[in-house]
Amino acid sequence: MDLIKHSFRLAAATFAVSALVFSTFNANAAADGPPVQGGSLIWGVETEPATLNPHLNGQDKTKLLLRNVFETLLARTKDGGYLPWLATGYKISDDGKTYTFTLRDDVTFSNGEKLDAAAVVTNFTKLKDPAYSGSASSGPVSRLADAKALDERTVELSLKEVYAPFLDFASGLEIISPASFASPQIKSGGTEITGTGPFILDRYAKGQEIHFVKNPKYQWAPSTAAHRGPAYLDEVTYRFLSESSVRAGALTSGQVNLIEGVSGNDAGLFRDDPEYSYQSALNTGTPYSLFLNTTFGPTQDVKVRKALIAAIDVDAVLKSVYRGERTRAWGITSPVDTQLYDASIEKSYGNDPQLSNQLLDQAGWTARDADGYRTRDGQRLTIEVVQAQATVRDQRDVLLQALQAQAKQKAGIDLTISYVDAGTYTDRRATGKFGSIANSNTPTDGIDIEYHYLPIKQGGSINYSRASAPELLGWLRAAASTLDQKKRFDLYARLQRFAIIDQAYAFPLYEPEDQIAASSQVQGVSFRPFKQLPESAYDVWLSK
Amino acid sequence: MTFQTSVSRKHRWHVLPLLLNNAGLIASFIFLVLVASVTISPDLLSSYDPIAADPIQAQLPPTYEHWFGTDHLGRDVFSRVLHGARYSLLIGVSAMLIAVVVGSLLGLLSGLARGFVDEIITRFLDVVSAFPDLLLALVLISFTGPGTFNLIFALGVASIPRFARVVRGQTFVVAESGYVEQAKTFGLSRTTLIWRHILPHAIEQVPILATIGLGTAIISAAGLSFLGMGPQPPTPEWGAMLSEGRNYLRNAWWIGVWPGLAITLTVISVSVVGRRWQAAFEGRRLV
Amino acid sequence: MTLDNPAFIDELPLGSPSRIVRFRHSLWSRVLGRVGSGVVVLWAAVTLSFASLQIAPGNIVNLLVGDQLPTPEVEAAIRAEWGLDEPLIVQYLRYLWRILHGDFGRSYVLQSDVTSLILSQLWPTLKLTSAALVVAIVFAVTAAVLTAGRRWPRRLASAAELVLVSTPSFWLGIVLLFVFSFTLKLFPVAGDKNFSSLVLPALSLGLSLGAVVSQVLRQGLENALEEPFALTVRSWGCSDLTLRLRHCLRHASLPAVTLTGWLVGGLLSGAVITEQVFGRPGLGKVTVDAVLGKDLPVVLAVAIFSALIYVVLSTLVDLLYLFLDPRLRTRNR
Repeated sequence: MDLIKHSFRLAAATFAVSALVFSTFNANAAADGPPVQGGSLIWGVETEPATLNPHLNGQDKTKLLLRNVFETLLARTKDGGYLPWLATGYKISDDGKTYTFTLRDDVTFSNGEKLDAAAVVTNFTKLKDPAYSGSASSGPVSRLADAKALDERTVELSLKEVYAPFLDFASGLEIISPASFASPQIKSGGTEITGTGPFILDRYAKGQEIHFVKNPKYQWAPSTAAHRGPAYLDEVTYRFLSESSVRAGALTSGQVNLIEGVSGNDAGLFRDDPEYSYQSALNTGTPYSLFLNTTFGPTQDVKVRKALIAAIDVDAVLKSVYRGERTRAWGITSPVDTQLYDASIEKSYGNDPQLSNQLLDQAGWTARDADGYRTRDGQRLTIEVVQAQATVRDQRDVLLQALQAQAKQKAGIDLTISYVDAGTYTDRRATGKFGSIANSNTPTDGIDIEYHYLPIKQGGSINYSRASAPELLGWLRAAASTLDQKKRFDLYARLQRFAIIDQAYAFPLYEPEDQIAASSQVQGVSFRPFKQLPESAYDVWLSK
Repeated sequence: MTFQTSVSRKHRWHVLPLLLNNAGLIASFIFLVLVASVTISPDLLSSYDPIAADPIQAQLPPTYEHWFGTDHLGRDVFSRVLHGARYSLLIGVSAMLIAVVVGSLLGLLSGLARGFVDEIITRFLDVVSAFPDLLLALVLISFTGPGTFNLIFALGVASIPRFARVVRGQTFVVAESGYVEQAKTFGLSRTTLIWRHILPHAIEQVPILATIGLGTAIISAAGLSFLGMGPQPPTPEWGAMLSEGRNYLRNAWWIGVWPGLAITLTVISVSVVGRRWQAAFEGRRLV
Repeated sequence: MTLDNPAFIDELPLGSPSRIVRFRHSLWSRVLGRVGSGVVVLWAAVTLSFASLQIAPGNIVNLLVGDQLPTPEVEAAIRAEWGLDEPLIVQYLRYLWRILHGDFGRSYVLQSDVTSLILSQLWPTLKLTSAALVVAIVFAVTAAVLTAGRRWPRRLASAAELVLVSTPSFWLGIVLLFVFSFTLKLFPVAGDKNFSSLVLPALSLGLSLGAVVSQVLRQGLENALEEPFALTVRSWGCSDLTLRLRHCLRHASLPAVTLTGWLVGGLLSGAVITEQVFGRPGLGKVTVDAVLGKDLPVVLAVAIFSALIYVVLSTLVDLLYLFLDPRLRTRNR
């Protein structure tokens, strides 16, 4: 345990910029004596899982509860390195196309099956099959040519070509017990879908709560965890509370022990009160950004795109919307991903209304209509932000409204916001008839950047700027096909300058984050190293 | 039951003396006049732009400068409430207009044609009313997408059966009354009969029902706004404002409370006026 | 099922006088006819829902592909999995055939069986709506009996009822939450754990409906109190309360029964919002999520289900009227 703490401190010192977990929490953990065994915990969460199958579930906000049951081959260190977990080690062949994982031999799934090489192979081959995984099959797993078990404890994955982010993907795939795939519950998830984790799914009441009990046989925590052996808690319940004010009220009135998803308004309430602890951690992946459509409407003109970015004082907006509780974003990926993020872009653009108005004048949007918006040839300068109603969270509706007001006041741009249902959203995405789509994602190791900047047909499935400059493809191909981190950093840094400063494809707004507020009785709550999502309930305990 | 008294029209003129006789009614009436004048010209009472945000002035409590405080984006709540009257009333009134026009036509057609046409229309109305109002509006909006116009359309469609049924029933009553038989013997043409004699009687309750329905439409619109199906931002519609304000109740109660009060007072006034009107129409005893 | 003020009570479809005109057959053929037309309405509701979902925006395959890359293999797999490669008419007939067997298919979003999903959410909604119904009736009877015909209590109660009817229910719910859960800590905030978690949702859903019923009931009571029989009963030396409860309430509740359809519609509509505010499981929450996520199998199932409730209820009420009110029967013959 000492060793772990040591390496953590080392990491924090080396990557001073990456010390992004703000905690008022761990300070008193030591003071309260040794961890207490037993007890049950109620955790108020914002998002209910669409499916409990971790392979098919794309909601990052629900990973915290799925992780109680499903584990991965490798764990991550704070700075993105890899540590043993279900696998004791891994090897990448010299040509970069073959990955070999060696498994622990003492791991069992909660249904009694043994974790062996065949079980891991089943997971990978199943995921490749569109009949099982649907669209997930066209993700990173599509790079896999073959998965086979060399012996009981050795898995060999061979790729079609070198793909640098593959280790990030393969080491992070949740391993499901082989028998689960035969269950009728496999797609929706349920008690028959089992994993190796410290907790076992006991009961799921749709729309209400999900209940896990301790796995008494659990002995294989990764070294990043704070203890060994089974979990402290006997049981943990996650209650679904979609309204942020209701979550905060449930915590202050003692109906839940901790909550995730704290609005900027409520953060102060918990931070300043010794009865509660409050901590937050920035997400990985692409920050929440407005992607400006380069193939439709006024944003086809790079001058308009740059003018929008220059018009708005993002810092002031964030301060008013989130009461200063969110972090400004500048680039194409999260500052957490220090291996790929070039911080030199920070403070190098934006909040320059004069420039904005100059650019718009140059672009020909010189006249003004009765409402004060700029026009050209009698047409109003309108950029329509299309947003799926179901995915609005973290007060982003308020954030967009604040941007809208600033765009009008500072530059006469009509930033309209259209909230639409999932069907309309899908149609607009497919046809490219939108001014802008706001989006963030959380994959690490450059996968987030590929999704947003590869040409649409070549893997840029959420390339909402619809940019197809040949430079982008060149840099991304080069970055994906080398394992030289320094070279990758340089390539992504060039792409970042090109995409944000030169071409203004995207307007980064803020770095999404996870927040946890807990009553002071709750100890051991933390975020996952590197991935930064809330950790499972494994290390959590309740002081007397 | 209303249809028995509906043929006597003279009760209508009792509305005016009643006004002078009742404090609640007068207060409601004055409030509605106020709301109506604000709808026509909201700038009379407030000098602030309802959609101009000022991040530095966010969440200020009510003061002399901002009577109702400022909201989470630093917009003047008083000004937004005043401007909101226009949208909230527009939604309610337009939805009722759709329901009244389509509903009356369907009801009249059904009542006059009888037989097969009546059967079809009645079944259609049954199908529409088989879905609870809010659910129907929700599903309709999921096809059209959220927005002010679509909200009006959805609320209007959901209210059609009410009006159609009333008019259909009244058409039956009027058409079977001896009065129309008499008119026929005078040799009036069918068109004249329908437009001059049946229609006016068949729809005479409709304005009253529409007035009362207006309050309901405003409430339903607020509910749909809460579900995220309402007017698009930054429209200062009351339901949308109330729904935005719910997350700030702890820190800045004034963001939600004022629009909430505006909705409640308006709907109360509308119901009071509408119901007294109906009572007068039916010649009921008033307390 | 229209959510509205009492002005519409006389015009409600259930047992409305306008229907009487069409009564021409004997009682039994009337019963059969009513049931038959219920089935027709149900079929029309299914067909209408199915058709409108087809013309709604959003290509289903694209929707299911989501954020991922739509390769031809993926699209083919999705089409095959959900039976989307069939012609529309085949899909429709197959759907009808399946729902006749109680199989509503599988949810696009939740990946689970729709029939069991609906059934699992039925009980929480039923609990909420019946609790709200109890609240509504208790409120209505108390307010009406205690205040009918009494000048000042009546005014006070009327004012309270007006405020309740005129306040959006989600707002009432949030205010109740703040006062009774967060501040006074009397009731839990959310979920469906035990009886106490039912109190606030039932109040916020039931009070506004109860306020409407109480207005109708009071009107009925006041009419009844003026009938000659009330004077007779009084002359027996009955107390005022006994008169109201034992003799007049029965008279007054007949017009209130016409509210049944409206009440059920109000409860179902209101449950959609109440479940959202209080984070309760139930059909309303499932519906909102399904509508927003274009989860067609679930939207269809909910539509059919609510139409079924309406058809069954309105048929029952119509038939009940026929049996209860001898005037209708004689007039029919």
